[in-house]
Amino acid sequence: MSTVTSHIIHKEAEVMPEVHYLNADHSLKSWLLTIDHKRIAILYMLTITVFFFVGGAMATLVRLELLTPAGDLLQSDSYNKAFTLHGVMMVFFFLVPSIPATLGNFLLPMMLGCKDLAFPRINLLSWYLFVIGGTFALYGMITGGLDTGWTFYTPFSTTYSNTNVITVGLGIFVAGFASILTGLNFIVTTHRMRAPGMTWMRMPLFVWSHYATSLIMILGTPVIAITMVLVVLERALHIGIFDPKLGGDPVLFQHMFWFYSHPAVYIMILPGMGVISEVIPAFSHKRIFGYKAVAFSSLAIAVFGFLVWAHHLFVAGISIYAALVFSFVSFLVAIPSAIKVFNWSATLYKGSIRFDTPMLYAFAFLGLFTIGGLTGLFLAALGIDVHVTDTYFVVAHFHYVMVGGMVVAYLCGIHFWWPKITGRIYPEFPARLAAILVFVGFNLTFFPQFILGYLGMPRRYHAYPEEFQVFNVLSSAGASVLAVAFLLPMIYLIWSLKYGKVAGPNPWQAYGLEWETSSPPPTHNFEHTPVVTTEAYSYGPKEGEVTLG
Amino acid sequence: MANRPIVLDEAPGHEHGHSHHPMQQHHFDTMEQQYSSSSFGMWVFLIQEIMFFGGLFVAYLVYRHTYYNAFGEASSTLSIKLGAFNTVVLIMSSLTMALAVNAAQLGRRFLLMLFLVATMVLGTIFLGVKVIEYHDKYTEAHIPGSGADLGIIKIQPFCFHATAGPPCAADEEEHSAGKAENHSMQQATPETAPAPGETLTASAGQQPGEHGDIQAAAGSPRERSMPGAEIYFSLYFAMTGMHALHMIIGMGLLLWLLWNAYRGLYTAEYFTPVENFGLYWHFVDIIWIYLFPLLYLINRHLGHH
Repeated sequence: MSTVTSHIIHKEAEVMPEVHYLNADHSLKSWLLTIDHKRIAILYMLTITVFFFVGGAMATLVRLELLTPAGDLLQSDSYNKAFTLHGVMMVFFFLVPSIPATLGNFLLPMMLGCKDLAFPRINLLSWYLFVIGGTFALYGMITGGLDTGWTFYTPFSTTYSNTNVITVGLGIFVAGFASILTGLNFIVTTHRMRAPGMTWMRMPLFVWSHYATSLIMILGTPVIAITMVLVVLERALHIGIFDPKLGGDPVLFQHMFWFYSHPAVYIMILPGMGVISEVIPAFSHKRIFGYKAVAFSSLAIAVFGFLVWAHHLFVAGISIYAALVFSFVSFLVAIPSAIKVFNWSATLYKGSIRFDTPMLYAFAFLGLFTIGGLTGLFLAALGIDVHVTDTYFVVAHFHYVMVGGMVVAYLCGIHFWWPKITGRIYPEFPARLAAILVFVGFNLTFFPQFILGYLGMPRRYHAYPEEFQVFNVLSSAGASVLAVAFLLPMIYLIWSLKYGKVAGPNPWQAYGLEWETSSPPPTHNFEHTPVVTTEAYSYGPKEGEVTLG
Repeated sequence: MANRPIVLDEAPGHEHGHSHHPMQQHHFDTMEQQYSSSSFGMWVFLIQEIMFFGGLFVAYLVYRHTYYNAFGEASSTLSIKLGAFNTVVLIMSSLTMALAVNAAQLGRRFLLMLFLVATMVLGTIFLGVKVIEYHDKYTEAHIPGSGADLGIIKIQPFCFHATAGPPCAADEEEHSAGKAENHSMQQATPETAPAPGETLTASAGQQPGEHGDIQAAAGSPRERSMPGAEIYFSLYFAMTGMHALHMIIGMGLLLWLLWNAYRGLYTAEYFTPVENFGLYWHFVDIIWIYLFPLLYLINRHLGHH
């Protein structure tokens, strides 16, 4: 196992292609009315970056407030608004579209060997819907805010809250359709647009994970859409669907909300798993271990993900028998997730591993996602869940999956495909530094929260007893490291756009159709429609017969 | 390149320079691929629509179970005649739409336009009747959240009592004019009708163990409101409203199809939009096929036993 540092191989100096998708047309109109999936991916990338930093700024406020036990920086109501804005922005406007709408949009057609997604204009429409939804949400947040938490629990959201539930709710409704249309596009593209020879069992695992994600988007998102409609109707017209005063059932809201929002956490992790499935073979230079197992475990996660929603309701008064079933099925979801982790680990075995930045992120993902997943098992167990419900234990658990998993995977993918997207390579040293800072800062922020939660500190309060202060200070210190680690890529990635080394078509010696075309790719991705003759991840000299036509 | 096992070559059967159909988009290799993609996409969209309405149907299911009798009582305020008429109209429009698709596939422009117009006319009739029905609900003050207490609206020959107070008009009529005359939309016999002045909750309370009688624990039946009725009307407006919204969007799309058909865009080789819209229209029709029995027919007899 060679553990040499970066060795990006440049046999001869690479040159940028003369015409590619970025310089084909420079006008603003050509960007705003583009139907090129690659340009739409860039538009999405810029948009979600804005939302990420809005959500991040709110997280900063929250962590600053929690430095001291007393509620001194924020009043309780402004604290409520801060964590709500953090949650809404991060969940609906960053995590859900993060990898699918950017890397997925950019790469899916190239990995399948086609010129574009099946419905390019619908793809553009979905970006506009996303922007409109995001604008609604931001507008609602600025003009009065929202204090329900990202979960909109009734009857607080429908009756008692004095904040902008309707505006933000409509924003989420509209942005939901962006997600649905992206999923629809991916499913049809995967079914109908594969290049000759690209059989289902030859598809990259990135495509498999996006296919599973798209299934959830199609089947889950409409349910949150109609639920938000009912909340908005109830609030605006005072009709009674969820209001107990009118005989409605608030727990029904929780069922309908989590019927989407639990599968949605798999929308927020499956694409990350797809990225890791690409990066680990590339930097181990080895075929992935157990291709079929990894592919079908994505589908299994999507299916099981729809059967576990009520584990969010263990203390909401559901029947104990229902709780037992949901607890059991929640344990089952761990199986396909573990299959993936084991297969990625097995792929490393006897591989020639390189520790380039994407691989550092992939290792971080392996560790952090595993911790996040295992603490999920704690929460699936009824007894422990009752003890730690609504404590920082839950907060730490889902941040380990959402940030330690998805955000890390997003950064991993951005670095891995940055040469493909921009044609240039980011500077390696600051990138590795940022990767290490993310890992250290993240653990420092969220590991103390497991302890806090287990000791009984409830979430969503701006003040707390003094004995919790030491862990909160650790957490806030970690958050500041994390903030630096997230800002650093902003600097060197933008720097690399102009000053980075020219990448050439395949700087990582990686395998896959997207590396076969120039970087940045031409508008139609390939000069000619590719014909696929080998399996995915045919790394190494023995596998993959060379057939140059 | 020696290590690159993927061949970059032209796909078999794809010849450059051969003439594409004018409606073929750049990223499809063949018209067949474009057609099957569009059609498949439409089906995926309809699956999404099923889940969208599914949320409403689940809410209906849960509350019908909880407020079994109230749903029966409240549904008997709807007009079966108007509902049945609309059902027939919508099925007819599905037929004309199917004929329109057939005409498009045969490339018969005039017939296509004729059937599209027929579909629009039938759709307009449906929406018109819906407006009448909504207006009836409005005049009867069956509007949830309107501030009018649905507990004391008239559902002849019954009457809800939200609070203890003077008997409502229906009770008075019952006393003076007898029962049967008041059964405007119902065919209840005097034997099945309740005693004069009996309230809905009283009849609900006669079935112990039913979930609707949460309120039965407190106060006398006469003084209790019937929350299920308000939820029923909330769901009635949410479900039929969402259905009507789909119809309105469909009417807009029909106009667009008609304009394109007039321009001669659709030929025997290219008719995908007509066909996909047909799928959408049939789907909206099927939603109504479920809404009609669930909202108008089921448990209606509870309204006059």
